[in-house]
Amino acid sequence: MRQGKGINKIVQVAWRDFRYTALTPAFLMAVVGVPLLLGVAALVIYPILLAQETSVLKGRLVVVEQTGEVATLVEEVLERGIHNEIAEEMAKAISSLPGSGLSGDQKLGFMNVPTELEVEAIRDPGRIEEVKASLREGDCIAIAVISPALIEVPPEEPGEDYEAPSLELFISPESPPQHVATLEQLLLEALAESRAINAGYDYQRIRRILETPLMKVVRITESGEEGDHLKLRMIVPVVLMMLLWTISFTSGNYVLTTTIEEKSNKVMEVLLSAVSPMQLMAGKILGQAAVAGLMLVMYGGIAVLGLFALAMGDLVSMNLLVLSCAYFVIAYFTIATLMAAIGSAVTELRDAQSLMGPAVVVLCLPLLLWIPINNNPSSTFAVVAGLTPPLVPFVMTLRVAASPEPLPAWEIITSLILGGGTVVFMLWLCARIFRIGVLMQGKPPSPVELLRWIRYR
Amino acid sequence: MSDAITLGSVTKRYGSLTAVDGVDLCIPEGSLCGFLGPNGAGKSTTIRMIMSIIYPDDGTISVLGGSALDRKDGIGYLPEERGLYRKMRVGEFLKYIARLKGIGSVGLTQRVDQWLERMELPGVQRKRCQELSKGMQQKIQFIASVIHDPELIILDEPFSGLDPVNARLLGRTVREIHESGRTIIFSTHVLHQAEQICDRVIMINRGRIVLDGSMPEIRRQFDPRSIRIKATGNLDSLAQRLEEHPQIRSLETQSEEGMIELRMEHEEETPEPRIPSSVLDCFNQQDGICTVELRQPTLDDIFVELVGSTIEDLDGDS
Repeated sequence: MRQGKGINKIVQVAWRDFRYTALTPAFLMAVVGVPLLLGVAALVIYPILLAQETSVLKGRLVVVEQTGEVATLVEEVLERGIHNEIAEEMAKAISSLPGSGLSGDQKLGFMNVPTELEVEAIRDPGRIEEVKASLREGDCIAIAVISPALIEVPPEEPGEDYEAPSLELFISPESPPQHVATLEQLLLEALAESRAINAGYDYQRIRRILETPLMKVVRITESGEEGDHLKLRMIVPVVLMMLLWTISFTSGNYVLTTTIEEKSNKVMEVLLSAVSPMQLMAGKILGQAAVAGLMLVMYGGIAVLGLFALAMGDLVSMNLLVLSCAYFVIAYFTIATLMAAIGSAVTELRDAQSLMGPAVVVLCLPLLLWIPINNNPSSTFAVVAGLTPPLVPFVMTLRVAASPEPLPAWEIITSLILGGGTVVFMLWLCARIFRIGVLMQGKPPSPVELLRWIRYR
Repeated sequence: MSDAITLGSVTKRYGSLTAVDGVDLCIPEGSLCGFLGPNGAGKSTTIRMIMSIIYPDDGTISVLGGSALDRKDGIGYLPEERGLYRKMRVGEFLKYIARLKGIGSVGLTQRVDQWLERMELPGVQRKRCQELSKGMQQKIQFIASVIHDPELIILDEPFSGLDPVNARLLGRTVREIHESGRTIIFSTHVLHQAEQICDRVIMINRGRIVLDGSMPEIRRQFDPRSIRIKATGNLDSLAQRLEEHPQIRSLETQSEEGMIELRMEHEEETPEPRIPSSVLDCFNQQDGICTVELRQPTLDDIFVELVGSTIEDLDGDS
């Protein structure tokens, strides 16, 4: 009967904390509204925006050169279309994603600048100042100065005194960056073609030779063959670890701030007349656990659904999801108990910063170590880091997600036992600080005082 | 009648400071008891130990026959440090506290409404706590301490910060709750409130109980009564006669104001306040007496007598 009442009190505290944290307009907007908006933006609005063409590059381009050869080639390039390497690479990358809705030939609209250019060649370099004046007056939009050295093939082994020639492009102050980039592409392509012709090569053939094909990577597993998404396979573990880290810290921070709020509001003693410090701490941690769960479902759920929608569900196996949830529980309770203890020991948020400092430094380590662990999740360093409390949940999530082969069972089991043990130890330690700290007012305790609180009977 | 609260040699130390020093105390069920003492005397520490919010270093505490931890739902507590969730609505706050105290949700809204009506706060259920005045917030906190109809109510400085109208309302409500059979203990600095409301007074100073008894007992214990005489003319002869009277303990003459204040020895066999006839005879021999005022010691007098000297000591020490 008494135990039932105690549980009821914990539930009441947990529900209040959840209600006044999660069911508020600001939180719902941040946790529910933002992911939904991002989803809508990513799936509907962004492709439309990407497909939008930029403003037309229109006007007179003056090419100052002695031969007039490059100006002719610029006109030819304009006629057949500028070879925009970056746009083509991006289009290829996006078209390789299942369900992207873009064909391989499609270029991204925002990278594709339509042109209505009139090209004029001026063979007398002495007229450069006159042309610059016409640029200032708006009679032309750009001036390209091509020195004879530019159309020569660069030496195979340039000497020490060799100075690479540069193409000078004068533009008006109003020229948008996309227009300048297009002009650069246009001129460089014409220049490259000019060099190829001068060296006796068929430039169009060279271009076709250098064109990179699409690559399809297939991972051969025991159950058969499955498509691989190399770049995403490298990103998913980091995203998963960051998600766990961010949500654990955000929710732990809620535990900290609500505890400080109750102390500074002086409502703590009213609560302690109705519940024990342990019931209060348990209720607060469980209430914020529900908040953390809600955040995980919203952000994690949308990410997983997105992967499945793009037919990349194989990147997040059921095993990974279950283990990630288990590590999330360990991460949350480790951080939340610590935050509850810190919150109970101080009366102002700024006092909490000094106590949080050392703990945050330790818990930030996974963010610094993710590159070597992600690159080699089975290395000795990764194994040791994965079995070192309190890094266990973050490093193990990273390892489980990054490893192409399932991790050895003993490593998983040991990490879960160590993580669970850390949670139990933190609960015991922080509960001892909490029961004393919640009644303390004034300056924050020193480390020696904290130790005394822990030993206090 | 059994005891609602029993303290046996309870001691609490904070480092080198002994906040509560071997306190023995029994508060019977159904009593309305004032817990008095100067700042830092150990009142709030004792109350917090009774509530099992903090624990004694030595001694035993029994509340409603057990530990306060087991009896929290049977105890109402208004702490010295007032606190509300500022952004929470009044109705929700009171319901939350009531649920924490074990009250079911059935009929809870009506219970909240009734208490708000009783404390003259109708229509504030939907208001946020931060929108209320300080006095209104204090009444909300009082409701939070009694909404679950506890057997024992402990109020730490319930009248501080209240205007006279609300202090009277609170005092009346406390008496009504007491008349329904509840045990109430409250600490206060407002001694005349304690004098009017309490049937028993406990005074604590420097962690020790220095006074414990009903008001009539305390008055008897701290009689001598004082008599103030106002007269015209020469007071010297009257003062001389009174000084020679065996029942007069001390005498003070204020000639400019035409006043004599004298203190009498306590008469065990006549506990009721009266002026002995032999003293009255002295007055009758004096012409021009305007008023004779018999004054009993107030709690203020007793408080100053018991505590004043130690406060002076403390001030001197500091």
